[in-house]
Amino acid sequence: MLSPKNYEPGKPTMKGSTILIVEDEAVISFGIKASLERAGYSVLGIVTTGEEAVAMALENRPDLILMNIVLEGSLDGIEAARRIRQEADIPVIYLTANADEQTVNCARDTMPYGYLNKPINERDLLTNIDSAVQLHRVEMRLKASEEKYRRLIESLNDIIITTDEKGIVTYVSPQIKTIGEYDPSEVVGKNFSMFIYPEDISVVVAHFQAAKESGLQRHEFRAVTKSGKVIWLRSSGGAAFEDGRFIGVRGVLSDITAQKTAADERERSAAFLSAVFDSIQDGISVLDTELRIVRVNEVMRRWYRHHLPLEGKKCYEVYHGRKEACEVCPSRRALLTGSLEVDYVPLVGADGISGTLELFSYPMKDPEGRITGIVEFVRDITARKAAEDALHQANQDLAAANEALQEAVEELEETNEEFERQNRELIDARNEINEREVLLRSILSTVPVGIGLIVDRTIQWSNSALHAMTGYSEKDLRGKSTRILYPSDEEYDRVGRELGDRLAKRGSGLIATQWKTRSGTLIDVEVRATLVDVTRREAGTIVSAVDITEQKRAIEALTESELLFRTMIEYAPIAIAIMDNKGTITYLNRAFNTLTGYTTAEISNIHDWWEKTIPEGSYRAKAKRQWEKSLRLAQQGEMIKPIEGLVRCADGSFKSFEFRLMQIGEKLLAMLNDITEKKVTQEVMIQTEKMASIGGLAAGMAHEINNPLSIILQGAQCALDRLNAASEANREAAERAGASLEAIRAYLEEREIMYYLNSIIDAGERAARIVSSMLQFSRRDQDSIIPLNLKELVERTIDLAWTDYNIKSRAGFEDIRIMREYDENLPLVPCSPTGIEQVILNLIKNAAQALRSPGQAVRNPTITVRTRRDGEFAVLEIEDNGPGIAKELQRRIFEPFFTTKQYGQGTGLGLSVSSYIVAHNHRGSLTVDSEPGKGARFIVRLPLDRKEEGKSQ
Amino acid sequence: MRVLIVDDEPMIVRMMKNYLEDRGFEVDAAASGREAQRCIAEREYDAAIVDVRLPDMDGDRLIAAAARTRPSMRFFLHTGSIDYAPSEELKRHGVDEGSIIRKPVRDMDEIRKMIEEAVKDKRRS
Repeated sequence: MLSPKNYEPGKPTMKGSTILIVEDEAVISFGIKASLERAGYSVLGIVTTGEEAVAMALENRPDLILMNIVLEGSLDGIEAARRIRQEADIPVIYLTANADEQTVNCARDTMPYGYLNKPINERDLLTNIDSAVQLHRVEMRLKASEEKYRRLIESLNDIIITTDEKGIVTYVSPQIKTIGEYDPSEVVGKNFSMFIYPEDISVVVAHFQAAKESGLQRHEFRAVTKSGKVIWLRSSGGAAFEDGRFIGVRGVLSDITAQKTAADERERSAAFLSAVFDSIQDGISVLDTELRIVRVNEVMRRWYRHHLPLEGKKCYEVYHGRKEACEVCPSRRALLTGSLEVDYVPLVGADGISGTLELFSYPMKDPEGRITGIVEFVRDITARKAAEDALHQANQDLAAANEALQEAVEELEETNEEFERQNRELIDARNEINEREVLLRSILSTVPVGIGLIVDRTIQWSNSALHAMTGYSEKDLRGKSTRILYPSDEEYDRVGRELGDRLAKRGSGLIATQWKTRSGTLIDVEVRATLVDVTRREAGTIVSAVDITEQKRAIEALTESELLFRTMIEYAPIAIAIMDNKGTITYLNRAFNTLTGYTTAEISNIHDWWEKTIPEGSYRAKAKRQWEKSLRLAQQGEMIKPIEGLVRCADGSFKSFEFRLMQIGEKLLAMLNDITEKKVTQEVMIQTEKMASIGGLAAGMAHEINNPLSIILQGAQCALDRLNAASEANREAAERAGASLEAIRAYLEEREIMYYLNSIIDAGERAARIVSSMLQFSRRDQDSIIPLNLKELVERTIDLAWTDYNIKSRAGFEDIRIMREYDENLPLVPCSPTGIEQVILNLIKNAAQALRSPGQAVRNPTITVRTRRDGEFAVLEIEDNGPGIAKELQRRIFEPFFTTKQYGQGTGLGLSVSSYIVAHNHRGSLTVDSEPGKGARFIVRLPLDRKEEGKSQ
Repeated sequence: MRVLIVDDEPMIVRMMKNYLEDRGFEVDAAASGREAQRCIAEREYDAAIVDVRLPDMDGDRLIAAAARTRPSMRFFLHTGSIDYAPSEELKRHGVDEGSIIRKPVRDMDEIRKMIEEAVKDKRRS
């Protein structure tokens, strides 16, 4: 950097320059300002702190700053100058009072234009300022110039390069980046040869050496870019000398890759076209408008070897050996017409080559359409021409031969017509015979019967049905003995013998036998034989055979199946009866007998059936009507619903049956299914459901009824209580009323008020009983189901009944005999003790009441209590010898609120509650068996096995 | 012997009160649970007959609460429900199956006997 002392202070020529003064001492700053203004400078301003100095300098860009080094505030003069310098190039002169070494060192970093020591004399000030401003301007100009050249170099497309005397690159312009992809720093310091394309290195190095002597020559060489691309460069420039000593080269490198590549491309293109041109196997000859040969291809050179070189000569001289142009020439025509012309011309070439050429002449035109020459395209058609000639000759020969042939054919045709005539006659004659035979054959082959003509037990002819039957073909059988068809000699002999006899007697015979097919299968056949001519046995026999194997098998199968079905019917678990149209019962199966007890001996016809099984007239009539209606439908083949009916069995018991009728041909089939159990179960289920719903209802209203009922009962009791003669209070109250209690009671008795009160109590109690009975339906038995000895339970209950006031007093238990028939081997029965106790009590009460029914004196009134086992059930029966129960009532007695007893005798719930306990809580059943006049038997069935249902219900 | 009858049915209360008073009992009546609690707080009773359904609370609750303050008192439950059974808590206070009076009451004298015997037992123990 230049220093101010290098310049002589001159006159202040820089008047008008603006100066910023940074000085915190007003006396000094105003002094300076005055001096400067006198000298013609303009003072931008005076600031006192570093911050103000930076702000003002950057905003107004003064030409110079006078900066006091020591300033108040955080920025001193040096720091302020540094900040300004970072942003703008403004010269600074420091003002300093006592410049110590360190301060000056610090200040020097900021490159000041001078120092002024205080106190400042005006001359120093102005000289310094003047020189600083001037110096700054020169510097600025120099900078601008330097910048200009730098930009110029850098904007060139070429690379500027300098090397030292050894070829080490000392400078390279930035264009190296664009052209060679290198950063200048990657090139400087390296030998230039490192970047030359290997093949060109020796040449370039030679040039470099030569430059020392004769200066640098222009030359072109290849270089390698950073990415390995090969580029063409052209170098120019010169060698540099210092004191006559070679110190390196200064050169320019231009990228000429594009030009180089284009030239290469042109050369390659021309070479390619030339190769194509020469490789075409037709002759090509390019002529100018004067018919002078310009260029020819290899083929032309071969043909006209003796005239080489052809270029430059006239075509007619070379190709045709003429002095002047030919009269007939397609090229000449093309020159006139401007379009393609074609012609045949003779070939007369070197070494005696000759033939015919097909010549195409294309006129060549320039862009303006002027004809500039002719391209002759010449094809050797000598071979084609020869072939065409040969073909023409052959055609002519063929035509001659054809004519000769035609004549021969005409002769033949005449002969042929004669033949055809004869043939037609022959065919007609044969057709007649054929027709008949075809008819016969078609009959014989279509009948499904095997037919054969046998002469002396030898097969002469056989039809296809016989083949199908036996598996043999016509060929297999023709001329063979019929023995082939039989499984054994014995059978063959037997048939021969027996059939022979019949033929002899009647001329025909039928026999059943077995044949053996070709595959070895035995088939049953029926063979019928008939003599062809009765008078001549030797004329043979026509034998027809029918395969009856299937038929036989079917019969056997039928027999078997009949047996099967007969057995099935016989042992079927449902009762089956078969009767004919007249109503005669022809068959009853085993089940029928076991279920009803009847056999065909007792019911031999339908009439017996009705009489025996339905003793009651009106029911019988109804059942008959239903039966007949169902039968009609069955005869019409309709699906019919089974009829249900109650049937009296041979032992007098009744069972419910489901009847299904089926008409099979002349026979009527009746099937009876025993549904007694099912009916009972169904009814029990229905009853149980009914009772459960009553229970639900009762549970809901019991509380509401019990409260008023309690008031009724308590009210009546209290009323009677207050009439009690034993009570002192009652007596006193009566006295107070002016009457004796006895008198009041007498009055009440007389007017039956006492009776009313007692009746209220009775009715209330009955209502209470009904409500509590109804509630039984809603309650599951609270007791556990436990295994009990049924006998002991029954005995205990009888004792209880005996002591029951109601039963004893109203039913008069005293003279009723109790018969006990216990099965001592009966196992323990799972049941709820209170539940079953209640059931037994109800049944005994009922029996007792039945025996004491008013108006029906029962002799020897007896209740029989019986236990027994029936399969998986324990059965408890309570039987009386009372008046019995009518059939139509038997079902209804288990319905809730159904009673036959007098009003007040029962709640109408006893049997239904019992039935509910047995069916619902024990999964058993309660049924009745009774006939009017013969007592009633109530049957409780309790399952013995209740494991699966858990302990309690 | 002093008895408290707790029932919101005035006819029942009246008949029971008359019946028992005729037989020398001292009888108070309460128509609600709250009234009954007031009575029990004010006087000592030998026994109480409590309807299960009271307008303001369950008879059960009344008894359970009263039994804690009056351990010597005997309680009877009066109900029209057939399947009412005393809770475990009531059983701990001595209210068992035998302390249930089921409506309709067929014999008023049964009630008298029940009370007399129960109170007698209680005094013995």
